Amino acid sequence: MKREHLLILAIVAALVAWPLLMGNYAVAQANRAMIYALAALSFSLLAGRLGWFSLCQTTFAGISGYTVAILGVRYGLPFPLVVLLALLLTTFSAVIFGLLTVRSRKVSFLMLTLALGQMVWALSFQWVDVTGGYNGIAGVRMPVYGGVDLNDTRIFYVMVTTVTVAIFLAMWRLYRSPFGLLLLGIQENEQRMRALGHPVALARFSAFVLAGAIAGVAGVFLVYDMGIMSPSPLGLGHAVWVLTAAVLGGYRSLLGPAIGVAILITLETLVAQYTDRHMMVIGLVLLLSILLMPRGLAEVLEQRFKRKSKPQASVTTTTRGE
Amino acid sequence: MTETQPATSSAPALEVAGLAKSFGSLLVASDVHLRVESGERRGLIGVNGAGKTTLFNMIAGELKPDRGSIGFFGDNITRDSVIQRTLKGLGRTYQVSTLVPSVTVRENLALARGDGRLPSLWQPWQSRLDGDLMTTADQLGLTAVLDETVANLSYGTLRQLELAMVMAQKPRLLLLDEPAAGLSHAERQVLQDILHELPREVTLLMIEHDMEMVLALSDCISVLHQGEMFAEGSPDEIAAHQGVRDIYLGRAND
Repeated sequence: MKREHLLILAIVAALVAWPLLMGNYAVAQANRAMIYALAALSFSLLAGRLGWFSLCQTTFAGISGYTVAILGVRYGLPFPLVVLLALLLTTFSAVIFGLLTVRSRKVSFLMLTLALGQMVWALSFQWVDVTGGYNGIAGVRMPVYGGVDLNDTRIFYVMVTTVTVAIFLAMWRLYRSPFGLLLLGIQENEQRMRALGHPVALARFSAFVLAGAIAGVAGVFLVYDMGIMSPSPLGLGHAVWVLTAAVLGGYRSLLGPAIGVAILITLETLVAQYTDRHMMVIGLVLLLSILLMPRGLAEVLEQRFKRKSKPQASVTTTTRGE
Repeated sequence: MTETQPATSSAPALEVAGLAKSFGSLLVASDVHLRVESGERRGLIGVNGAGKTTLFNMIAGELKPDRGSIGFFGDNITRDSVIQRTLKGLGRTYQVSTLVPSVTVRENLALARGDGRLPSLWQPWQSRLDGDLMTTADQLGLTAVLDETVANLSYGTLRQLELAMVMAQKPRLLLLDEPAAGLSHAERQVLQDILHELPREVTLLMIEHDMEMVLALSDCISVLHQGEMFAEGSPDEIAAHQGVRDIYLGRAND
């Protein structure tokens, strides 16, 4: 228990130190990383707890982003109202998608989320009157409050960090709550959870809506970070990028998705400096890391951590998941 | 139907009437009748394929019968869902232990006693382990393995956990599907003692192949054969029943 609290303190300290020590570019990269960490967390909540691999979590971020862009730029609604409505509409979309997918199993769930995601993506570039088509909607800006420009990289960083840390802490509670445990139970033994008197469908549905809402928060930050909303964040490429980050970091653990996103963004930034064929290098790194660490980096670290803290080695090699 | 226990309430714990089920052309239950009084210990025997587990699945609500009705303490539960039946006090164990293998015994116990509502998203899961639950775990000999991952448990311990999980629900009727299957002789003895100690507020209906155990625990035994109730009587009567002997020796008319 104590060690976990130390870890949390260390992460928070690092996040506080980052903008004080690093330049603007690194802070901007951190902003982007935290936004995608939220998207990857949204994916991992479903993948790690329920065994549900979703390809539409970035779609929720996209719906949220478009709502912000349309209401903020086209209709000029005030910033807090825009954010509130974006989150409400995203959550509502998650309710609708959730009703459609709640009874599906692994592969059918994946296919349904793929279909739903692709439908919204197609809508985003074909419904030109509302979305601006491929050109998108530009000029999405946060307001200036009392001389403080919320668009400033470092001020934006403070907002993104606060919200991201709060959401991760809430998920830390959730993962160790009876609800979190029930989700694992459903993944491994749905029939039994029902026989024990648990509302299986409701639990699944709630997790799905919650994951959608988290992606919605990511979407709000994403659109303000980019300053423009276009169809590309809704595309399959983004969904797969988030999936890759979550798998790389370890979607079963809480910090895995954040670690995965940090690694991917760092890799992309570093490798792009040296070669145009950076995707080849990244692909190779992914290939190797998934071959060597099929459960993700976070779980490898966790196992090391546990082995050192507990000498009773015989029992600690637990078999999680399948 | 001799020495059944005095009923603690007038309605029977379980009243199965005219239950029928077929999978395609395969008839697995045809017109099954079964009445178990409240507080009774009933054994359910029959050769493999006689339809015992199918009957359990229909009683527990996991399988819809084609025809017939199921009464539970005077309440018609034929159309209730699994979860509704659970909340009304029907508990069951499974032939193949089906728990949550990747987490510890303690975490599994925290998942016992669902109440049909969404559990807390905020409290730690340990908050669901109260003294009552830990007493049940202790009675079933689980104290030493509480922090063990379920996937690493021995088969006997798994069966004990299985029983603890369902006992924690405080069922009024407990369906036990071959509780002794795969257990060592010593483990069987432990299990038999545990079942013997269960309070009479819990009605037991037990599928079991270990005849010694069934004869020792049951007030009354029902014999299922080819999807029908073939015989019913006290352990002595069933042990002496020529037709039942024939079935078990494979000499029944096919």
